Amino acid sequence: MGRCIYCGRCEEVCPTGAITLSPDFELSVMNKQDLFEQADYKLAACHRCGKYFAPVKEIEYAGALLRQSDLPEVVKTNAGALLNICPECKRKNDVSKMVNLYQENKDVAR
Amino acid sequence: MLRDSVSNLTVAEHSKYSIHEDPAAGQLKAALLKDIHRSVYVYRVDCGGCNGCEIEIFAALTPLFDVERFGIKVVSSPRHADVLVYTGSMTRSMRVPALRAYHAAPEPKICVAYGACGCSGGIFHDLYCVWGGADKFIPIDVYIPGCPPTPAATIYGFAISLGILGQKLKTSHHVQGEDEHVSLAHPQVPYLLRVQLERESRRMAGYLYGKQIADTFLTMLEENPNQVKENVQAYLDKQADPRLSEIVARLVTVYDGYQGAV
Ligand code: SF4
Ligand code: SF4
Repeated sequence: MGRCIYCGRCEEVCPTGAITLSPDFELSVMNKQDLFEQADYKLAACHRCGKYFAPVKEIEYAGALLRQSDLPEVVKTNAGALLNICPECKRKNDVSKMVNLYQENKDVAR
Repeated sequence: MLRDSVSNLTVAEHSKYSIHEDPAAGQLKAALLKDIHRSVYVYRVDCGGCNGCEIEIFAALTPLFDVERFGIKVVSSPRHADVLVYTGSMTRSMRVPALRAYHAAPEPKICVAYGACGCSGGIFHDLYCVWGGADKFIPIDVYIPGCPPTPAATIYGFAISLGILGQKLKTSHHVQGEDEHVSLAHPQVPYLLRVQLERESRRMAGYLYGKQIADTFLTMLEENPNQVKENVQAYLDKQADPRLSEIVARLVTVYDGYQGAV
């Protein structure tokens, strides 16, 4: 809290409404430690490479949003399969898909 | 490593020279607070902020807030001061004057770090010439956060430093529980429709109000999807705000136009 400038930007953009600014002004402290609030969340490991990459909560939230949407089932399944994979493995996944596509097209052209 | 080009010392080495208050001064301070039978004199040291904090301190002196009615007076020399207020982030060129002001003030003295800058360096914390907050060099008794702190926060901070009021904020440590999930906003409304509505609302009314207006609309939509238009109209009639009516009318258009995700 010691560095916050109370601009309210975080409140504006928070998609889950977790942050709200209040008119409370009694924030002074005698001990700097009291300006800190800490929160520990569990991290999720990538299903491919095992690296930790995002909080479990966030991935669950993304999954719930996906289920809530009225996208076609096949899109949901495909996107859902990538939920638990870290960005790096996703990139590798995309590249290998592209390579396969290229190979197939080359075969077809022949 | 960050090095001071003038004295060729690192920040850590500088911190070694920071002042540590001696225990006798602490006792004196407690005694001063207990029976100070006069006004307290405050001296401001601006170590390199944007001046916003100074303006707020002066706002606290204006007749509207009037800290002088509590006997808090701003003086123009540290020699007269009981309280030193350090505003602004600790910059390289101001650290020596800041230390001189500290030494010039008679014991016992109370030091206050004022504003986000004084507490931690604030928005300037990673500038090449900024050493951090005032507590890097000076033993600080009270931190008043804010950028700048409002006059009300300022008065509260002084009340704390003079031992009149108690502190409210406490540090906290949250550990994720077993069953902790983020709940979805408006689970009955398809996600993509919600995004379109929120986007349009933001476009019309800005982030904060756009969010509130979209929220109201979505709640009505969730409560009764078949009668949403009647309910919305009744709500708008009650509010009687042409701006709101126009924005909500746009939302209704977006809702009507929604074809589902394709
Ligand atoms: S975005 Fe939020 S946390 Fe960051 S400075 Fe602004 S109000 Fe404070
Ligand atoms: S805390 Fe904010 S208002 Fe005060 S000096 Fe720093 S930047 Fe300016």
